[in-house]
Amino acid sequence: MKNSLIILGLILIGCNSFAQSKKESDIREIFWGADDKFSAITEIPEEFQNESAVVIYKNENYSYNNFLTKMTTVESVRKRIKLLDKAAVEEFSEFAYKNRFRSSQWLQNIMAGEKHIVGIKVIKPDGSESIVDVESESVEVDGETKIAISNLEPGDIIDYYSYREDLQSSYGARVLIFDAVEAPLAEEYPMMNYRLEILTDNDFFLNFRSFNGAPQLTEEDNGKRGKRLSVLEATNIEKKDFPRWFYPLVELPAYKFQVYYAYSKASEKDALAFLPEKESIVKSEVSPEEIMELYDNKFRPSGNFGMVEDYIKENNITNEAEIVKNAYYYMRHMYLTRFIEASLIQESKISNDAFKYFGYAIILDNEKEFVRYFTSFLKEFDIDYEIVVGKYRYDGSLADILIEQNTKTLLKTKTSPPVYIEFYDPHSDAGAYSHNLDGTEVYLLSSAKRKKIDQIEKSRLPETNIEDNRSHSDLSINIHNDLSGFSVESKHEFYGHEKKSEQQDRMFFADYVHEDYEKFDTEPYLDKVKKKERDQYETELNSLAEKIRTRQKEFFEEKVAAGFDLEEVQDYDYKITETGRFGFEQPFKFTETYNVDNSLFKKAGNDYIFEIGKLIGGQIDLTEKERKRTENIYMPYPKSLVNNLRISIPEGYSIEGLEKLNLSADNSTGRFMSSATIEGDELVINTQKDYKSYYQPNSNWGLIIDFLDTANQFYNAKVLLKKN
Amino acid sequence: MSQFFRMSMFLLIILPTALIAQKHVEPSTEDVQLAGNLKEIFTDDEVGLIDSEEIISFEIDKDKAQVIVHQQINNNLINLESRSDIQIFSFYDSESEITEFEVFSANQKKARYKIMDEAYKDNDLFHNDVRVKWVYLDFPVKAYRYETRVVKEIKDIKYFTKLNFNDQFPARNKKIVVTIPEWLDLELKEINFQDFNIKKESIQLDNGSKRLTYTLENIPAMSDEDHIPGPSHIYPHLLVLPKSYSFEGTEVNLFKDTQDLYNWYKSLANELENDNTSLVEKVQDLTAEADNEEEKIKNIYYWIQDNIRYIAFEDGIAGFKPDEASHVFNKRYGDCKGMANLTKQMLTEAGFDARLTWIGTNHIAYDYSTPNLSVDNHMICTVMLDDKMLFLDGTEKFNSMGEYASRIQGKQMLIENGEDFILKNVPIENANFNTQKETYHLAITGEEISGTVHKTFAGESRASLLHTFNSLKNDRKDDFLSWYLSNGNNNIQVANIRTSDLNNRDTILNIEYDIRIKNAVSTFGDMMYLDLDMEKELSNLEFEKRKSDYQFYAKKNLESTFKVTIPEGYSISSKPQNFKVGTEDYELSINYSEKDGELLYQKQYTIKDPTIKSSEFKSWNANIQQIKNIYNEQIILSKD
Repeated sequence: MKNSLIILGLILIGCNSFAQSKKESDIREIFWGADDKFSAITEIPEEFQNESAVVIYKNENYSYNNFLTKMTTVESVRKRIKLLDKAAVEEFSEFAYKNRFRSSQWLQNIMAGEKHIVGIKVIKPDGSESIVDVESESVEVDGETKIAISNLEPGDIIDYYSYREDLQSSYGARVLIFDAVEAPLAEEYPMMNYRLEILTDNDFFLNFRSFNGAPQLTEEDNGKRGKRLSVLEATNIEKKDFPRWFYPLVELPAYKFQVYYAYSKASEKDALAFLPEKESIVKSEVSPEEIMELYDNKFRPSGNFGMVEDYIKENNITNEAEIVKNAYYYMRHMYLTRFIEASLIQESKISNDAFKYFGYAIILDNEKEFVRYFTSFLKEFDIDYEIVVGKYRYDGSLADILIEQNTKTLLKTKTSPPVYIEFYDPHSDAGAYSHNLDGTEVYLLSSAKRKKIDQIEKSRLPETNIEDNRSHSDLSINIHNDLSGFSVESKHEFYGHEKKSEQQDRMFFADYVHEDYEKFDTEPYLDKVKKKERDQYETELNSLAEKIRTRQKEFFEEKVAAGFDLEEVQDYDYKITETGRFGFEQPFKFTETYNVDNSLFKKAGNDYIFEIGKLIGGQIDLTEKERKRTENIYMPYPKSLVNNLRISIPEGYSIEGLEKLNLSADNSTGRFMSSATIEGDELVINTQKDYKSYYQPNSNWGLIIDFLDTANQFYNAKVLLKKN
Repeated sequence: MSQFFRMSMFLLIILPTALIAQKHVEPSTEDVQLAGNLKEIFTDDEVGLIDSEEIISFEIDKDKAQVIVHQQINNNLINLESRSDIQIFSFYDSESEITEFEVFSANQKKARYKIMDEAYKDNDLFHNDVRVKWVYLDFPVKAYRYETRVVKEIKDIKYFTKLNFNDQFPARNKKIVVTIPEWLDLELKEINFQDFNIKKESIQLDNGSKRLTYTLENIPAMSDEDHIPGPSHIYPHLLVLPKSYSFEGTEVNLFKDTQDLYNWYKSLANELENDNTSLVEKVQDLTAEADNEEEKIKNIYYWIQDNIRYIAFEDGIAGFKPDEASHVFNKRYGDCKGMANLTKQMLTEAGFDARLTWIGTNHIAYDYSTPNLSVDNHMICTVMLDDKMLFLDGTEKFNSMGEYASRIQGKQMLIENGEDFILKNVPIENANFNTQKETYHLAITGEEISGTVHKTFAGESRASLLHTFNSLKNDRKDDFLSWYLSNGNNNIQVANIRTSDLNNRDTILNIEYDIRIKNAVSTFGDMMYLDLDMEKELSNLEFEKRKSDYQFYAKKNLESTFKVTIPEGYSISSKPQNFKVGTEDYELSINYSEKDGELLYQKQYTIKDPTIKSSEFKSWNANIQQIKNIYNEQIILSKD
């Protein structure tokens, strides 16, 4: 039986049955009433006949209303879908949603809570309709309602709506920022008609923008005083899947919107949002001046930096760029990594109160507060800075800023050299920022007199290149003389953006917290703990560390085996030799040792075919569908992957076919180069695979295929181990 | 707003609390030693049971005149690794209740652990009445211990079907104590005891009760390996056979014999109204044009396979009682019982003698000689046609009438026969029934191999492929065939696919296509090295670490022939040794030969018994190793 259910939103309240029934019939009238011009459409165009399903009509509705102290928001969707095969029938044959939930505010406001009303009908090819009796045909367990749709067959149309109304008290609320909605128009089935409706009271603000050729929002007369109905309509939307290296919100017709409520003119200023000048204006663009005005309020330096100041002074750091970097790492420790053991002790129930030894523990938890804290420190040290405001590359360009939560903020100090500072994580580097911001256009906000932010200019963040983001793997491979397998000793180094995921995967708290204690000469957590509890904490924390280490080792062992396309390797061990946590250019390094059986040696008479290409690990092996790609190509960042292999040639054997290992494909998008030489009794192989850019137009896809295929050809390459 | 308050919007402030830190008692040296010893035996397990005791007693519910079962399970858990975080759970349903669920830790009389209670979700069941009580337990160090006590009441003894020795965790000592009162006639049938040293003690108590105590040491946890036979095939257990009890001077039958079980099942079936008004027209449509009786049955059977979705509601008695045929027909969905009943009613309307048929799939080891509700888990329909019986399983997809799915082959059926019943076994097919045959005609060009392929599929291999294909989205079907035929290997390019009717479940399925294989030929000097076999079937089935029997989905028969034209000017200088092995359970052969300028590579794998027993792993592994060696060996063509 299939596992997937159509999940229809979240929660609902059980009201008195009469009111609910009236509401249900009202909602039904909205979607399926006399005005429903789509109820007559049962046919689909000829070109869609071979699809799995076709969306005849999709209608999404959002409405926002505040009456006195009652805030009502509604999200609903109606879909009318022609099902053309069993897979589609299977997908739409079961629905599930949660219900009968009372809001936590019910004591204060008996009306608070959510309603979820679902309607489903099936239209047979002869036009006959049957409305599912949701009440009698559903089953409910632990607040979840499930319905299996009766008599649903290929050729039928399923027409359903899910209406979710949320009623909350707005008493005392000064500003409400509702969840942003951001989506491409396309989905997995082709769509004939689409309509998005946003209904707001006149005292709500709306930011909306269409992207990448999506139709514009229009205003429709809705016949209701004091309410604004904004509509986006589209027809004939192609289905879309999402291939590798693709940013849907940059390429596909899409829309984004967000709705805001402010109690008064004065409270508008409290909103962390780019509000329109007045409620009647739908805002679609955000000017640099508006950004400056908003962030002037939100980035006022603030925070207690005394201990950071002491650290800098005690260590006699005088160079401004060095002050910035050192302060960053010190803060990362004082406000994050020194709490990690306590946090784990608490999470793993070793103690219920592991933070008591800190007295007053402050952990910064968002980038804006970090900027306030860090600029407060910079101000104290008279170091000028600019606040960088940008957007991740996958979210569109700087000019597309519309929703404040999509902006990313970091700092650029006016030091020599300038230092970029981003909100930290346990391994982040001073001077670096997310690869998603590399090379993007940004605003630089600054203050002429170190007071109010009063200047804004466009700039572009530096890009990184293949020299910055590189990984090196040196493998020393010793083939057993009896060809029963080989042993591997390897060293791996990761630089720049290449190290981030490796650090996150490979390091856990025991690998780096002591490094910080030593570097900053702070008291290790366990030393703070009273003697009578220390032994317990230490023993149990060590036990936790041992368990994590064991699991990690198993994971890495499987990862190595998968790289060789093998089920397993033997005697695996690894060791982190450099954490790379104090500079973008500092490498993260680890070593590995393991043994591999003879699976890569294929017997050939007295000789052996050696599947030597697999030693560089799996390569992208494009499918026929991928080769026909039509989208532009968005890669994370330029990078260079280097493998150096020294392979002992077993006694009594020589190697033939080295020419198969000398491959080269080099173009403007990337390259793969490999060389193989014999040095004494060793075969030395060097490979380098470079992804040269962040972006390539689809017209260059062939060039990318060229070097990817060459790398894959190396992966498939074999040499002959010939018995002398 | 104060400065502090604004800051708190952004800061996570953790202040000291008045909570008392949990004090864990350090495990004793003896416990550490014990944990070490157990870990040596149970190397893959995180947590073990030092002692596990299951105490069963019975009581009569005088109001309902039913026998109640009291089940108490006391477990003494110990951590075998540096740290473990586990869940302990116990299931109940509308016929049972968990009256006590307690956790005791080494240093507290009763640990403060929250017992959760939630609906159990089963991917195979749309809705069921099973709930689970569970608790999360953390073991902060090696040898840390907990004790748990779960007391459960089963309201009606007929739902109490077995007692297991194996559990979620391995046990050093497992004890099952069953006290059978004088008024209860109950047999505990020992299943799969032969390979285990289970000690049994029986004592007669003063009150006339009999106390049976079974003990077993060092019993492993239930396996989480894939492809294992159902637990009743491999684990020692006691099958509970409640026969009768005396109540107020009267003997009340439970399941004294198969007739009793049948009577209960039949009584549920007799409650059906069988108002077939809604389905009569469809039956007429399906049978009007049929040339003969068999075709009528086939039309109805295939319509049900194709149009009724499997959606199961197992809620109380619905777990045993079929749904009305008209409901299933109108809803176009149902579970196996509903589909079986719909099949029966549609056939009955078409004038046939059709019967409900209870059966246990091959997941279950028992037959009806041990009447008990765990004997079966499935329902099909038997139709009497002339002097033969046809067995129709509506839950199957693309099953050809007269062919039977592996999961029910050989299994005993309990067939409706008025007040009586018929016991009969589903016919068994041999491996040839599922034959998958493939013939490659290939030629070498440079370092590429290309040619044509012809594949045929029968039995389960056909049903499985047809079902998968027809479950796919229309726009994915072409891609699927290419992917399937290339085995997901991008070195293999498939083109020009021609198939027989992919909706026809009655004929051999034929697929022909053109193929190009990259990286299968390596040329060094005057020699060509061929790695011909891209699929290398069975090579991943060497069971070095596996402990449980391995069960193939069905019997298999693969016949594969590769004919490769030897390039002009070349001859075969080396090829792997031929291989052939035959046992009662399987036959494996690989043969290389040369004929008329062609290299002939033939492979035939016949799995006659789909279960490879762990006791046979040694010889099986040796054979698979030989096959792997052959796969790993290149065919060498040398220039003349």
